[in-house]
Amino acid sequence: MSEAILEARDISFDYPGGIPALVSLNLTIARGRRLAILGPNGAGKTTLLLHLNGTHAPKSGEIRLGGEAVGYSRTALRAWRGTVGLVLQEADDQLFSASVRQDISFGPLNQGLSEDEARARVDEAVEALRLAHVVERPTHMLSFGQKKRVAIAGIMAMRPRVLILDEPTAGLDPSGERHLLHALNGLHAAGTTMVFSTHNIDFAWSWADDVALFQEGRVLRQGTAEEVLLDDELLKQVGMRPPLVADIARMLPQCQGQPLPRTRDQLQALLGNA
Amino acid sequence: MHIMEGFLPATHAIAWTVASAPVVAYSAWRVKKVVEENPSTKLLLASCGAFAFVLSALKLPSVTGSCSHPTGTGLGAVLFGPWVMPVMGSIVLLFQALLLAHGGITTLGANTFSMGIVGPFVSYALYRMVRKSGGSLQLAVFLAAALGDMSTYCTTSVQLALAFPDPVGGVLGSTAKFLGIFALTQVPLAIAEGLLTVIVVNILSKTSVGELKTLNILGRGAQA
Amino acid sequence: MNLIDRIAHTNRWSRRATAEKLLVCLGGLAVCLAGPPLTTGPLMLLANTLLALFAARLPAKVYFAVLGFPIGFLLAGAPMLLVSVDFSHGLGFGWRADQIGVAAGLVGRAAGAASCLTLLALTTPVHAMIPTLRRIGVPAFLVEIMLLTYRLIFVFAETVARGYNAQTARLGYVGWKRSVNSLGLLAAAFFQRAMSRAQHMEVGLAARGFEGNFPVLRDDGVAASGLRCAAIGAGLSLILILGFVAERFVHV
Repeated sequence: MSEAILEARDISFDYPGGIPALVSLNLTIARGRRLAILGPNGAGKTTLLLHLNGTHAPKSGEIRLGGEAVGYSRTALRAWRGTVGLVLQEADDQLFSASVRQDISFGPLNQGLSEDEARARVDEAVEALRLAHVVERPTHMLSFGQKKRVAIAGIMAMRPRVLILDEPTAGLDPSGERHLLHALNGLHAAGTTMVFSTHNIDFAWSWADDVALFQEGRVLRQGTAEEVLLDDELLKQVGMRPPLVADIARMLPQCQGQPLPRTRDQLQALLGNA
Repeated sequence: MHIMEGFLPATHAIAWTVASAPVVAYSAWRVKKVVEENPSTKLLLASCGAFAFVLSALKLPSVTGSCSHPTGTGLGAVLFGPWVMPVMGSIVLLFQALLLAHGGITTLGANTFSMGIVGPFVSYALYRMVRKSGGSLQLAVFLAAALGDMSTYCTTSVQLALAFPDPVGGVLGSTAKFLGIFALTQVPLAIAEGLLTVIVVNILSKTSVGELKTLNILGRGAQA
Repeated sequence: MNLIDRIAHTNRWSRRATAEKLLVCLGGLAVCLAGPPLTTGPLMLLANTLLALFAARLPAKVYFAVLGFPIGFLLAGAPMLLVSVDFSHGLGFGWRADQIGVAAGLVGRAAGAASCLTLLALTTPVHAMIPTLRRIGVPAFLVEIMLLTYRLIFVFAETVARGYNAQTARLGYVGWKRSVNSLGLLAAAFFQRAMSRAQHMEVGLAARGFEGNFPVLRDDGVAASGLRCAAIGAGLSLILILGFVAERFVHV
């Protein structure tokens, strides 16, 4: 595994009222990989993500960025959030302007870039997220999926090295999901490390390199997608079943001793070749 | 009670704008101090403004059969204190003119005077008076909202009467005329808004203590 | 509301220079208030209607619906000026035919002015208008609050519409008492949502480096053309002059 770009070491966090949310949690995010944080609703996934960009500070333990423990001063947070971008589940929580272009320019200008540089960043993000056809439309006339992509563009325009997405596909229709993943694949190919939370094991299997299985504020196991998602015993503990595509493929003779298909298309191709 | 675009002659439109302007400016100055102290209150204020706008676009059932809209003046005054209202009220009124074609730009000053200044201050004064004299929260809120509404409608009637004095009865006669005409819709509406506001405050005082504290800070800062 | 906003974003004039449209409509309002109401108002109404239907190509149905609401109110309200109330001998009512001129003038002025507001609302997106307030001295923090308010109105409108429909589906608006109660519940629930939305937004914007201000790229938009502004000024002056001239021939 490549070097860790972002780590949570032994962090604990309580909700107001002393209800434990994260319990001595350890997580390693490897540079250039896609990590799924998989767990049921209410397991503390979002709380963890909010620690990864410094929105919350842990009660104990530390977050390490590029091998060094981070601080929570204004300057430190500014640098941190420039490196680690967080996209919330609800795009409306991140979009404040009725103008798509102005909204995307907000992050870069907060980073102190000049107007020209910011404009270039906006164009780049619009292109990367395939938003050129909606950029002249007011935010409230965009579809749910388009808003989500604008929210991601607003973060990408800051050129973070790590992109954190809370439930990126929640609420998207199949075509919205395709558009989103297409755009995210492009960003990943360009070198962005991805972390995303999901409760959907099939989605995690289709898209993640690594998986951290999450339960009640702890990481039960972190490893490659194969290590975690094909471990029936482990999955049984959290009441999950293996990804459908992998589960079917495992039963097929032509898949023995081979990497299992990740997507429906790959599975179909295998079956078609038989 | 919006006065529609162009209803007031130029002198009156200007006079009411001039009358409202210093109060709005002072209100803006107080809001500015709150915002400077804690910039994220911008989000809170915008949320409240949008809340008021969206709520005002809902129809309130009225006894006379016609539908009318809640003004939210009483609720705003009780939650934020009266000093946030002139500036936030004028913002909401501007949006109502531009997005709903309710009210108008030339009548913005007059409408701000009745709904952003008189209504909230009457509401707030009543609320404080009833609370101080030992009245229940419900009674205080009901009177604040209902009579705040009534004061708005009386102000509007006077504004119209000044612009269109009765040839025989003068301003007094035409005030009576406008009050009489609007009473049909405005009195039941004020009662409905009073009841509505009591329901809202009842729920909020049980379930949103934290949020109310935040708003209180908004109000306290504004009184600095 | 959605309808007015949508048309404002999608008509032929949407991308015209905001300053030009403001000049047409605010200038028009000034002319309506300055000129003799009985003649200037109708002339303005005519000019704006022609602009709306043939220049901006607004859907006629929408234009007349938006304009019809205040004008209907006006036609219902203006005749009240013809009734006089007098307290000098107890309470007395009278019919004052001599007030017809005042009432007709009111209808003329308000109809003309309402057409200016309608034209502005239907041709110009609000978020293009707000920043121009900076030029007349409105402080930056208020402009920021207004732009945020505009954005949040649409976020909230969806929430409230959903809640309202859900309540209606469960018969929440049958009868007056239940309606008031339902609306109160909706307003309270929505208030909590609005407050938590503000908090979530703080988190969402903090992730983008929010420290209290809203720096964004200036909207370059279309620059106003001096020539067109001069033409607009000339058109407005013409209406004003025509108003004064026509007044000599109109007697009520």
